[in-house]
Amino acid sequence: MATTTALVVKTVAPRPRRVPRALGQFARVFFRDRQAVVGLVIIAITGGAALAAPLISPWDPLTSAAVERLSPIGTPGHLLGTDEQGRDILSRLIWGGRASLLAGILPTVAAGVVALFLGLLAGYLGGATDHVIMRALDVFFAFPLVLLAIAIVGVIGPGMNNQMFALAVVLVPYSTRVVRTATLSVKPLEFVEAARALGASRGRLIGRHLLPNVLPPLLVYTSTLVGMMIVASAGLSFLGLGVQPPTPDWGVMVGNGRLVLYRAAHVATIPGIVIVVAALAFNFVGDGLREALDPRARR
Amino acid sequence: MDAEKINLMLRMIPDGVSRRDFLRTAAAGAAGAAGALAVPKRARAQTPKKGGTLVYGMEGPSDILDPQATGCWLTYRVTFQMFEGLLAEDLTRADVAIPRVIPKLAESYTTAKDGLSRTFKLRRGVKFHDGTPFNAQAAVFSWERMFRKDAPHFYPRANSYTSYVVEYITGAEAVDEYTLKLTFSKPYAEWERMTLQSWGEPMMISPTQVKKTGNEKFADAPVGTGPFKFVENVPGDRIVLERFKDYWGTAANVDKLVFRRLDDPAARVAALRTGEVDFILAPPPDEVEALKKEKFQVLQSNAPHIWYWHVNMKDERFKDVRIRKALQMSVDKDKMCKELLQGTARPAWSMISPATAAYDPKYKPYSYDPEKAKALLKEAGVGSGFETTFWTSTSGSGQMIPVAMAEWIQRDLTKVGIRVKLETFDWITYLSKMFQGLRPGHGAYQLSWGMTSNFWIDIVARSTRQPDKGVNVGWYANPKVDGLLDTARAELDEKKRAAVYKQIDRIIMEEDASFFPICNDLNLVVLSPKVKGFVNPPEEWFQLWTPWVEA
Repeated sequence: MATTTALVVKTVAPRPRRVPRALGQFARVFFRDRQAVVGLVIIAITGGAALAAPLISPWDPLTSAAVERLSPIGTPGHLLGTDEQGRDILSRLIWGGRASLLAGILPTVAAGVVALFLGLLAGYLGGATDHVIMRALDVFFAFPLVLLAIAIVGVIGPGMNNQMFALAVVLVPYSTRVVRTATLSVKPLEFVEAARALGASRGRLIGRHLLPNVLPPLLVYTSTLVGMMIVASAGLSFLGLGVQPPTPDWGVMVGNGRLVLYRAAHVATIPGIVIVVAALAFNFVGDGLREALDPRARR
Repeated sequence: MDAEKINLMLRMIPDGVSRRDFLRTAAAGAAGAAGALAVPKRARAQTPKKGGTLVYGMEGPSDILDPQATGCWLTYRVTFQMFEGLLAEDLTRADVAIPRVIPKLAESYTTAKDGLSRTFKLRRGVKFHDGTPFNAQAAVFSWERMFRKDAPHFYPRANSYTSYVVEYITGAEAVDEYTLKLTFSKPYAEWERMTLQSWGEPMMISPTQVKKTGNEKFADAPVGTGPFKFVENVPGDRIVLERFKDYWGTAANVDKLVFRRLDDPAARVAALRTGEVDFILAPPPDEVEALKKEKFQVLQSNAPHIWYWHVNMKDERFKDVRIRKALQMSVDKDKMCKELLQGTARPAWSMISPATAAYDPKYKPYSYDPEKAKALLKEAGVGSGFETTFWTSTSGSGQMIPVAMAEWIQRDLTKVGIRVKLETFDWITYLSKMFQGLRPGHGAYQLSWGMTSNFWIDIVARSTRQPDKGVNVGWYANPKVDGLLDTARAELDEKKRAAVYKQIDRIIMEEDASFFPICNDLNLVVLSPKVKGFVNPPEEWFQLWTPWVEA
């Protein structure tokens, strides 16, 4: 999982003055990819809905509506029915997007930033630094990802912030590997050598020449992780370690809905579908990014 | 007819006949024998079948299988099949309010007038699973393991678990080969019932085996006198027992018992539907109707179960009795039991467990009254409401559907202004929090408990049992209650004792409102149609030697 997207590392010599043109090229390739566009639209809709929740949510997601609990899809006033507590499912989906998307995006971004720092350091400096960083991270690989997250939250206590922190921590080793591999493959290239020969400082080398080349693979990798993190955070919340009731969260909704699966299947399946769709959307965008950032595809 | 004979006869009649039918027939007939002959036709078709395997999809883990050094309902459902004590509860009947206390490895016993000693006539011809004969020496060995700190085989862990039983025992003596005498430092009226509870089970264990394995390893190869003996324990997965061929009483019907661990309610129901397991407990309430339609047998019982909150007496808000009283009136328990729990539980208004002498189903000190609750909050100076944190677990022994229930309660409380933040923990972490006690800022700790002994209220409400000396998580302390608990403990007359316990409950609920009971679970058991003869008694565990499995 960690390596599939990471191994194909493309290099781009820095062309700072032509940034607008590069962006245009990138956009052209990206938007030519129909899947990627669909993914982006889905993310925009779910993200937008989550942001605008107070404005568009038809009901309070926390209090039960006047109708019966477990009312089916299409109940007047409750488009997607009500859940096991008699709360409007659509409203909970809209509000739940906040916790779920945040839990998907924030840890991956945070882990990405840390990974950039560690990975560039390990890859560029090599030697003892590389060994210390990478062997330390290898320890984390000994544990299954979710199990490690459970252990961390178990120590620092349950709650949404702690859960996101734990997920970020467990992602660092994976992302760092991607960055380090990319760094190693760029470092020996001629333009880097040339820059060094011209007397570029270490900071300039890393910031100006290496960073732009390791960023794309990390970006691609990170985007595919978001979906996975939505699911992982759902799992943690289900164990009582993440989002605390009654805060809506897609994963929690699936978890609660399982208890009424035979009687009212929609309670679990609707948020389940939303999770799948959101995760897919992030993967589509990730694929689109890879294509668009690939110099060969641009030509 | 003495109790044991009735018990034996009851055990012999096929379970298709309701016990009540049988008793009625027996009473109407000239003699008990005539009644036994008058077995209805319907029942004749249901002669117990020997053989086969009975699989129980268990809703959580069992603790170690050393009965004296373990606790919890789930564990006792396993150890109860392998071990026996001097006395037992008669779990052959579902239609009684309280399970009767009957002799088991003792045939009879007497209590001295001053309550300071009990003498047991032991049953002859009883063997442990390893062939060791059971006699007074073996019994003394078992008791000393639990209480005599200078005995060579004393086990501190057993001592701590059985503390509610052995606290006042000063001696165990073999008067002759089949007579055992226990002496006490203080009269302890509920002692008999307390020997029958699941928290520290004073069951008789084989001295030979303990000498062979040592105290700690005994749990890996437990040996008792019960109708089933140990085969294997794969932690987290399954426990297997098989019929003990040399059992002194009526032999078990099934050859093998398997306890499969299935924590997740949805998975449990699925396993029952596919036939992987033969019966389960605690189905999701919303599944019950469907299961009944699919011909599964659903049995309920008046188990000694209370789902309740320990209110934190050290919390700044809940220090005020007006706020605690407001709490009692703020939750619509009837609606919750009817809708969320689908009638699988009854609203609880008292801290006396059902299936006990002091239980009064009509006692209802409060009613759902959010307006009055708001007025009380206003009087207490928090008219605009306040925030607090409540704790519960995500699952666990007897916990039903804790998170959904807590959310439901949280919503009702929000309506009167008590804004509860919920914090949920996995079961094992949650239990460890119990021994730390609640901190200021934390409003309440939720638990599901209860016993067929009214002594239970002593365990949860006595001031000397605050953490870390006990499980009085909410730091409740009332000298008047402590005094009455002393009175009750020494009162040997059952009726008078029940009256004292009732009085204690009135103080706890009305004067102090220090506990917040929500409901009494009806302890649903769902069985495959092929399981016959299962009785769901008013207890949290059941005997598995009487049911059988039809082909």
